[in-house]
Amino acid sequence: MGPDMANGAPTAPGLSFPRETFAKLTPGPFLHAHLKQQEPTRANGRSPEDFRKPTVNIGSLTHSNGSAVVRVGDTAIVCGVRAEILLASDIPHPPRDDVEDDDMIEELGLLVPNIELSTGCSPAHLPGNAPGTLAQSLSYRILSLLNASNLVSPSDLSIRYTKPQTEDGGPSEEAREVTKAYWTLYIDILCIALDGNTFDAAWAAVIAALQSTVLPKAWWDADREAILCSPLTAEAHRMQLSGLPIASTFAVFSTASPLKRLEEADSWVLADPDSFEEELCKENLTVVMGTKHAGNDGLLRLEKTGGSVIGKVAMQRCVRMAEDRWREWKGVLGGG
Amino acid sequence: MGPDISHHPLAGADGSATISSNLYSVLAAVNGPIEVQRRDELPEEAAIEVNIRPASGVGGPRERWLESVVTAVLRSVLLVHMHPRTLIQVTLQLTTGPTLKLKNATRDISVLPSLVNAAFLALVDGGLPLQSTVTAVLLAVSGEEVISIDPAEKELAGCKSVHALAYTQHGDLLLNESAGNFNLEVWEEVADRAEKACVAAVALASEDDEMANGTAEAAPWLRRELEEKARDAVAWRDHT
Amino acid sequence: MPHQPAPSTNEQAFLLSALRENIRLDARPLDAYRPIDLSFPGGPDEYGTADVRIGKTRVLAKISAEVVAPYADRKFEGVFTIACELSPMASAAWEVGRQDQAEILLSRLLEKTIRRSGALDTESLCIVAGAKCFHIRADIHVLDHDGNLVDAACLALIAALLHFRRPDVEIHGEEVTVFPLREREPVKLSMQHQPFCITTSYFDGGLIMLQDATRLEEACREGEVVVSMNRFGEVCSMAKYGGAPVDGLGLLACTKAALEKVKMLDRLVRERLAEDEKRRDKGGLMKELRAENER
Repeated sequence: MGPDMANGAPTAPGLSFPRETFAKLTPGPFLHAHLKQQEPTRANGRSPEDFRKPTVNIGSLTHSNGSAVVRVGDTAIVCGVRAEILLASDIPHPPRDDVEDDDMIEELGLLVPNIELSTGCSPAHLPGNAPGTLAQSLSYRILSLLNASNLVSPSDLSIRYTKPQTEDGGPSEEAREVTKAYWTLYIDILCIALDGNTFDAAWAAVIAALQSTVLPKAWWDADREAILCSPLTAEAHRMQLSGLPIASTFAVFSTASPLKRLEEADSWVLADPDSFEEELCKENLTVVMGTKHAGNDGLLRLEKTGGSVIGKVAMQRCVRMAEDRWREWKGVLGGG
Repeated sequence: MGPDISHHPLAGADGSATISSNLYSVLAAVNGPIEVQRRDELPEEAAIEVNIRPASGVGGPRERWLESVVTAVLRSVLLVHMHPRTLIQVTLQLTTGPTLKLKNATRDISVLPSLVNAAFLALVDGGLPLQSTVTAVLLAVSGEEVISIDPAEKELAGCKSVHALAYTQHGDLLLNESAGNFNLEVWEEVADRAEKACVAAVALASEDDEMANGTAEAAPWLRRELEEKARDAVAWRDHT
Repeated sequence: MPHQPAPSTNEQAFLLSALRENIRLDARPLDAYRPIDLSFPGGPDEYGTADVRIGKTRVLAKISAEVVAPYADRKFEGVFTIACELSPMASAAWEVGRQDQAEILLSRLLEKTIRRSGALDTESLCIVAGAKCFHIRADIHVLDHDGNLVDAACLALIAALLHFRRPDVEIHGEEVTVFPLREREPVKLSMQHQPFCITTSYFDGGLIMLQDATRLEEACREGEVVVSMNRFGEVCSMAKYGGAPVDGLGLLACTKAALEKVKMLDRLVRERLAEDEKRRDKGGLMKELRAENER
């Protein structure tokens, strides 16, 4: 309570401020005070290994081919998938049909994610600005992971056509299957609320949206020389995604500085940082795990930058935590 | 033994260096500490700006991502509190790259070690205060789980996973970017080999080490380059 | 540091008084170029990169090609673009993302000299009219700025264009095959002529004219005239963007002086290209000397 003014004589104000004031004035020592207790706790009440519980809603956008809303704590991200047709004849340098190409999706750029942070989702991201370095960097990481994880199979995105045998063609002239067009998926990711750890939530939103994506039945009409699509939902097909890659991000809070050696400083690895913690942590680690099965060893990506606290030992711990988190997401998203 | 390095090739920049490995050639230039824009100013440390320019084309989201990674590494190496409210500007120009077709993730990660090493050499040339050295190395794991350091283009094209790691001279891990298909055991082996190579690059070479382990991995190439540079810098004293 | 401080009054006065006695600070004659170095870095299969050094100024030009659809109003021509973005590497005064005046002028001069004059034959870049053509992209990277960027950039660009090889193409009716560089020998670009830019800076209302100005001389000059011409004396463009007035005879003198320098640059480019070809063709030479029969 504030100083007691009831009896008229002003007493010297006490040095105790409410928690929020401490957090605003000296965020670093505030977090440090929480973490250095017997049972390390974070300012948001979680323990360092606790992730926030995720919730997913799919199919809420009716005009897109697929959509999902993911909430992780106070971070909320909406993802919509729009499919458009790209004619093979419009591609200046199309891939050859007889060559089985796993990299076709990457080469033709059939998956186009774009993350939009300038929505007013946090005071740091005012609406209407061009994408800054952070937004471009996140978009690129998502694109890179989408292509490298082979989540989407090229056959789902190809519209094939079997050329009929010509009437006067000999027995050697066989029916040839060519790809007449491709589906290009524009994956728009909007952040409506940001409270740290954008990448994990955005990636989960992309997975959930792709899982719910439905592509109409499309075929090449030889007479009209165009692609036709069927409006019937019964004929539409869902995407066959392979694997379930899940991202888990960690941040490191450390009191080390050039004036204080790492061995004498205290450091904690915090799972799923919120925006308060993100501002105080310079070191970040993202672990992307996929399904472990034949041919797939489990880890798809490790990204660590910003400091030197996480070494081999801490990495092992983080990978274990990422495995638990993978199971948690699998329960929510299914698939895998 | 080590990449091809030339010191101070540019007259205009405060510090510059070129580094050429079997995959990439990078020209790095550093200006700093210089005046910073109000919006980027930090009250207690120097702001770091990294610009990456590809050989062809203008940079896009890929270059922004690479810039954010390199900036984070350099922030752990520079003594930023010594020049508050200033800007340390690093420009990295890629001049040549691999000609084989690589997967995008492999290509992105394979350029990181050259960028980090070039930036470090340019910072040293510019006389900026650094708290430690940083050496970055590229490793590729083939389908048969064979790990190779500084792989050739062909090994990269067919690899199962690719890893870029950077260590200080004490063996602290500053950067780890791994992509592909791997498990924790493979990564730990990769990290061990990378640490050995990076620490060896700046280690004090003792006579027995040189005799016993004459492999390219154990050669202290960075220390030799920096020692030669320091010797050249004071060579004028011997002549006068 | 978004702007370059002007040289001090002492420096300017010293430079001008020396020039009035026909002395340049580096003791060069008024019409002499600094030592020019032209090289083509890259592996034996990599064509199209030219590294030019004029004194301390250093410019790198890189040419790349890709297959695209041509512009709708130019169905029979390929696409040729020149990208010139100045980076803080050459000068801390240049910011990324903000177009400096030097950048705009440099881009415009290169466009006029090389693109508009038809130095590169764009019709030869057409593969299938209206459907496929080559897009030749030239990237100019200024690595070090010590004056005379225009001449250096133009020299680098012309050298790189002459050096570059594009992929070979075969057309069978409707089917087009673009051969990757490893399958078939790439093909040289078809160049109609090779224009070079010669910049003449002037002081004292045109009384003192010098070529290949250093950065300090550029900062102190009253204006400059850029003449673009090829070795036959054909003028592609003349540019005088503001600056103190110069009389017509002065301009003619610039043009005449430029022709000599253009011939010098042209000779240099040819010499270096021939040297580079010999160096790269070592394998080819050995192939010819073998007595074995391929069959």
